[in-house]
Amino acid sequence: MTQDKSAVRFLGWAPLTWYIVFLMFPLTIVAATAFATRGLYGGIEWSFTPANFARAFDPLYVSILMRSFLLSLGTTFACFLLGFPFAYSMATASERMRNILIMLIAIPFLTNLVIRICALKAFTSFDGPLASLLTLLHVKFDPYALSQNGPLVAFGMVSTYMPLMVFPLYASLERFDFTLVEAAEDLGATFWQIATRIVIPSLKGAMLSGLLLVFIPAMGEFLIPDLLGGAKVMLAGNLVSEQFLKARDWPFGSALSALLMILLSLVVIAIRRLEKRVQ
Amino acid sequence: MLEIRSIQKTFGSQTALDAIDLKIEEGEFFSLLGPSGCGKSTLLRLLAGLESATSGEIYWKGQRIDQLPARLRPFNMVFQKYALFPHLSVAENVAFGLQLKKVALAEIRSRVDEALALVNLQGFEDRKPETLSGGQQQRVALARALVNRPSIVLLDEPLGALDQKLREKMQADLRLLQKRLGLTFIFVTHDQEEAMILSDRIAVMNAGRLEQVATPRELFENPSSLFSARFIGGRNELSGRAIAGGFEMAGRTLEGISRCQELSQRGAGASVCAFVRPEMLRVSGMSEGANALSGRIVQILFRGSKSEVMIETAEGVSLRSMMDPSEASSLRVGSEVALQFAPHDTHLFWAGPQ
Repeated sequence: MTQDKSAVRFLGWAPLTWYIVFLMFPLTIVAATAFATRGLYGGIEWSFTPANFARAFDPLYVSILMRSFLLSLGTTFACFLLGFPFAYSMATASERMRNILIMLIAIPFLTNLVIRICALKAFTSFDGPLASLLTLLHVKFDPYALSQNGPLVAFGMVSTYMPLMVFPLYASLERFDFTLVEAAEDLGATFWQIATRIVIPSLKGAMLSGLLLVFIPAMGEFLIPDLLGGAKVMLAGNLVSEQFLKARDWPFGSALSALLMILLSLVVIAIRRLEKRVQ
Repeated sequence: MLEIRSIQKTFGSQTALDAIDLKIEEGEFFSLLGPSGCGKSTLLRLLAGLESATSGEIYWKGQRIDQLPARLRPFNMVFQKYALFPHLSVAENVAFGLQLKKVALAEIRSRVDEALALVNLQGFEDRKPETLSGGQQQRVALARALVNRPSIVLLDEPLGALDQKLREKMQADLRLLQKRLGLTFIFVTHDQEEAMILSDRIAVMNAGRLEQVATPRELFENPSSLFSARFIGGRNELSGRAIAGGFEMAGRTLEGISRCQELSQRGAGASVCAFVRPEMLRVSGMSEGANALSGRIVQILFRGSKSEVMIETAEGVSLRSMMDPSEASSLRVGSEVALQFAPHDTHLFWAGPQ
């Protein structure tokens, strides 16, 4: 027994070392860099200053952050509204149908994001297949409005992040005992009472996992809005990457990343609190 | 009174229930008994409103209820695997139905306490269902139904998941509770012994139809079909042909037997089965009288209050007789005996197309 425990403890060291060397250590560098100043030619001058954080609260940057936040929030809700019925029908489908549905949602997920987005971009481009098809069907349309628009960005975001919502919900719904619904019905519950008192409390964990799994990466997303929306707007993700790659202002980029991480941690903590209170 | 009128239920091309007509009195402990797939659970679910009939009507106290949704019917169900809400405590589970009906808080409290006391679960209020044993969960499910004071309690094999000892205890408790509260219980089971012990009346079901609806005693003594005869109690069967006023097998006849409705339409010559319960088959010394077959004792088993005597007839049929151990003590393995088929204990059934 004690030997088992020490073996487990030993096994625990490997991921812990990995975590420290490849995650905590780099993050510490980012945190330290956030307090440095940009050198004249893009280097890092190690002088302690909170100026980078102050600069991040410039209305310009706050509005960029807000835009990212809203896009992420919208994506999360859209994924939930579409993903829940999908997960529900997956969980209640026959085994054959269920496997087909799992494949349908997994295959796009396993395809490289850039390839998928570029394919969509090509499909809706100025003289792409969609435009040709519409012309063939004599549908009147504005050839310039087909691509690089808001709905396309929304579609790209939702279709990309949907599996992250569907899979935890499906896993939980599959184990859900549907006689509980019948029992509630028998005891006098209406459709909404069943949903709010029985189904949602039973799926709470899965729902929060799904919401976080979509919300967090969506917050840093910039590739999809850039490729499908025509790079017309700046988002938190590309704001950060531009500090590192284009503006070569590593300290400011670090400060922005640190702030983003703090913000997301706060969201996670708030949701966990909420979860406890519901219980 | 609950009245079920020509209920039919089909799932695709499968007929689950076929022309069910049934009347159940208030205060009755009524069992639906049959093998799995006979439609007994489907009928219960139809009564609960969890399933809708393909055709037919259900009336409760003269009011048609089969079009009401489950939540508006004055019945409550005890589910096979209890279906307790895992995120709610015992008290919250029991209070669920009352909360939905917007019953005042103080009344909910007292009624929940009362219901838990009824099933001997005081002190378990704050426990989660997963921390309870099967028997305790079973009783929470019962309390959750009873607390709503339903006109009818529907029970879907509620004792199926319990071990034998607990099962016997729960059977006694259930019967006592039902009589004390004067409630109507409709109880689904595949266990004939359980149905016999508990019920005022039993409906034996087979392949979506009612085979026989009668008291346990009537079912035991006067089964109306071969199916219900075989399903309840022990059996001895002889296969032969019908003759006028009796039964004939390999030249031997049993006379004065006319107790079967379905045979009267078929007449002499039909292949039939003579049926007698082991408890009704008399074994005597050598004097071979009327309506008797001769045989040899193969084995005598002592079963406590009864002895089981196994006999092989001259025709090669194995038969069993249950008798008092004192009676069996005069019998010896290997001795020749006569088997008496009393006319009023012997039943003839059409053996079906063969």
